[in-house]
Amino acid sequence: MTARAEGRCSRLRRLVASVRLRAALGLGTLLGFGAVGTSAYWLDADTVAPGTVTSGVLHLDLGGQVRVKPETFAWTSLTATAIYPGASLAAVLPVANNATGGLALDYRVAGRATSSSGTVTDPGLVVTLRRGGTVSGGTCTGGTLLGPSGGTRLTSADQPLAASAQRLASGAADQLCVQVAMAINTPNTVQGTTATVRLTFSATGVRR
Amino acid sequence: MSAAAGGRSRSRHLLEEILLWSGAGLGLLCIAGAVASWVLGVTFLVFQSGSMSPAHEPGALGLARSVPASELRVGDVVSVPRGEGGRVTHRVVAVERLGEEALLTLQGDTNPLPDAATHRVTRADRVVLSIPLLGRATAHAQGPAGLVAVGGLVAALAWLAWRPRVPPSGRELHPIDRASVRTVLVVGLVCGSAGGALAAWAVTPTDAAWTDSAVAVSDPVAAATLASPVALSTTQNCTGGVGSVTLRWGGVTPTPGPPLSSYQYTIEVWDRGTNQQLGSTQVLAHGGAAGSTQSVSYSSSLLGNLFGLNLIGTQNLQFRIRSRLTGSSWVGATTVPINVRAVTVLATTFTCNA
Repeated sequence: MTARAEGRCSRLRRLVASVRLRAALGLGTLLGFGAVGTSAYWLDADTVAPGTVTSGVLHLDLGGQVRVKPETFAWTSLTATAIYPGASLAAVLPVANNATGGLALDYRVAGRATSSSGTVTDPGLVVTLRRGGTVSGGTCTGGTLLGPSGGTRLTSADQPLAASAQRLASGAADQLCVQVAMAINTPNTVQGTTATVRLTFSATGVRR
Repeated sequence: MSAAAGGRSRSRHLLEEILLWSGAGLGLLCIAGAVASWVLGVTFLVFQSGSMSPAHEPGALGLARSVPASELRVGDVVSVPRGEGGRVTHRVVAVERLGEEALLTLQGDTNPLPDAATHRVTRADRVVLSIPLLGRATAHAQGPAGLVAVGGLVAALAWLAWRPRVPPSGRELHPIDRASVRTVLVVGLVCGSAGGALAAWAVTPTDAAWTDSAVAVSDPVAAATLASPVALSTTQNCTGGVGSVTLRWGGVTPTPGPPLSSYQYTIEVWDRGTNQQLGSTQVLAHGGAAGSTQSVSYSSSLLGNLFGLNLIGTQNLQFRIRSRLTGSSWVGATTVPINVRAVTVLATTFTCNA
């Protein structure tokens, strides 16, 4: 290396290492801080104070399962061998918030019935939900009624069963009593057929 | 200079160097960000939740560029304003082109279902890069502690750069030096605070991005099949005579399902010649034990009253007996028929199984 090149190099090194240059660059923090800060969009949730970042994964679980995704719970306790118009069956379904990150959730419930028979369009099943209810001889009693008092008659398409979203705190679980009755005006063609009841729980995370 | 003083001075020098280099690095990064934001139209996004994990973890700082709708493809991660304010940043799962506009269906990577709302846009901010943890750092920097730290850093840097040099002769500091130090300190703190306040003001809350769904499927809910009455032999099922007839059938034996008390019988009278029902349908409750013989007697006048029958000449009748679930439209599958010939001259003579 020539002496001149060496001199240029050391001048450059001195300039870069100059206290004032580095300090000036450091003051650029203010500029960037304002620019990034003011143009940043905070993605997510309610009226959150800026600066709270929550990592978490929402898990609504049914029947004692824990953090299953995608979750289909085979609810074997809701079954009947010979239901008829005017009769009903009931079972309690635990609905748990197993979200990570301390997330609360709001859940909604939709339901439909699928008949084993291709010709039956109306299996005559009427669902009533009672949050915190208990089973008493094929019906649900106590707790809070979630849908219309007469229940909701299931069709082959999903329809809402609860009037509003149900808040569930992090780590909490609901005992959801589900009553399935057969309407008195169920068509005669339903005799001897079977149907499955499908309840879909949709949860949305909420921050505090 | 003593050895101890030399050590103190060395460690102090080291501290100054660390402060200067890290400050310069941070400053360069911030300046680059600001320039990118102004010149390239980059939007910064702070991922506050995990619905786009693991592509964009919570706490990441995302960089997004505004692109026209025609450039949007399925698989792009876009940030769009929501109707009720705020924004949502999710992956495009469907694009419907509407001329200059596009109708976007979005879905969070960890969400099992697409978002309920679709977005009609002419432009959208497409996320091109995300830097893990930097968003979280930005978040902390905008908290009260962050503001103090940034302000402190700025003040310290200003002090290092423009501090008054201790005059070798021990003379008093020049007044201007002191003033400039104070000015730099005040300016630094004011700028830091203003930046933070601006940042807080510009924050836009958006919808909760987490969703989950779970499905419960019941075991088969089987509907009952009603029991039917049983036909008796022709020696037992009917007793005729002048003026009245008695019909008999084996009562139902309930299968699993409705109890015996819920069963009843319907009795219809049909004209075998015309194969038409005559009059109305009568209903009878089950009597006795399960499977026990049920019977009913009709006089000719009772037949007239109950069924509205007008017995005249010779009529070939058939009584049809069916089980029914009380109050419902459910009936047993099997009908018990009993044929009776009614010959009316002055009185009516009933002949069974004829």
